[in-house]
Amino acid sequence: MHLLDLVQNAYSADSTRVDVAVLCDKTADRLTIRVADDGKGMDEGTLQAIDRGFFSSKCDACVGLGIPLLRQTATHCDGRFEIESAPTSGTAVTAEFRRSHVDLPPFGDLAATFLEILVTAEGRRVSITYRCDEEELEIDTATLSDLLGDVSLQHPEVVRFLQAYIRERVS
Amino acid sequence: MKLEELRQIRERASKDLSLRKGDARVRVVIGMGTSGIAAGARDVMAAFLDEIGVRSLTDVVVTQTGERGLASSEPVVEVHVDGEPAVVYGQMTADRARRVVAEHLVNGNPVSEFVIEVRD
Repeated sequence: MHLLDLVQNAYSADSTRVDVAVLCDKTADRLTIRVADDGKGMDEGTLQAIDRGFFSSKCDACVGLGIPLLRQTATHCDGRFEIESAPTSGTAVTAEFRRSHVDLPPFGDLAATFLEILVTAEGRRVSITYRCDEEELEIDTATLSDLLGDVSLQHPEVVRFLQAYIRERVS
Repeated sequence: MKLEELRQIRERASKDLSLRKGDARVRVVIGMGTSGIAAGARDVMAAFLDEIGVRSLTDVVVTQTGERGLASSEPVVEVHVDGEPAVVYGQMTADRARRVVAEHLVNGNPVSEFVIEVRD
C-alpha cells in the first residue's frame, strides 16, 4: 500500500540514506507511515505540481498520481499527509491514518515489501522500523553489511534468511 | 532467528566467492509498481535473485522501479548490459525470468519472444 512507491521515489532521488517507519498506535487508533531520504529534495514549484497531480519526473508515459492518491486516502481516513522537502536537503513523506477506518486499504504483503526494500538498497544506508501491536522489527542495511562483509544482500542464502527473519516478526 | 546467523552465511558464501559486491556488468530492473506487483512482479524478482544466485553470477545486480505506464505488459523487466542497448521484457513470469538469466545474462542472447522494446 503505497510504501514501496514512496521508497522507490526516495531511491531515485540520489539518496545515500533512507529511513522507513511503519508504526501503529493501538490506544490512539493511528497508523503512521514515514519515508525520509537525504536525496536531492524538491523545490516549492515541484511540490505544487505534484499536488495538482499528473506530474512525474520519471518518464513520458507515467501518470503521476501516486502522491495525490495517498494524500486523498490519508485525509479520507481521518489522517493527515505531509511532505517536507527542500532542494539538496532531502524529502520526508508522512502519512497518517485512523486504523479502524473502514476505507483504510489493507497493508498487502508487508513482509515482502520490507524484504524488497532491503535487497534493492544498493549501497544506500536503509533502515526499517516497524511496530504494530505485539510485533516489532528494527533492521538496517548498515548492520547487515557489517555482518556480511563483502557478501551481497542479494546472495540467495541471505535473501532466504532475511525473508524468514522478517516473516518471523511481521505478519 | 538472530541476525548474527548471517555471519555463518558470510563464511559459507565467502568460500565459494559468489555474489560479492563489486562493479556490476548487468543491471536487471524490475517494475514493482502497483500493476507490476498485481501481475506477479514479486515472483519474478524472487526467480531472478534465485537463478542468479544458483549460477553464481557475480556481476549482476537486481533493482526495482515504479510504475512505467506499461500496465498491460506487466510484469516488465529491463535488462541493461554494459555497452548494449537496454532490452525491455514484458509479461514476465518466474519461468521466463529463469530463461532470461540463462540465455541473455549468461549467453548474451536476448530472448526475443518476450522482448517488447529495445532502447539505446
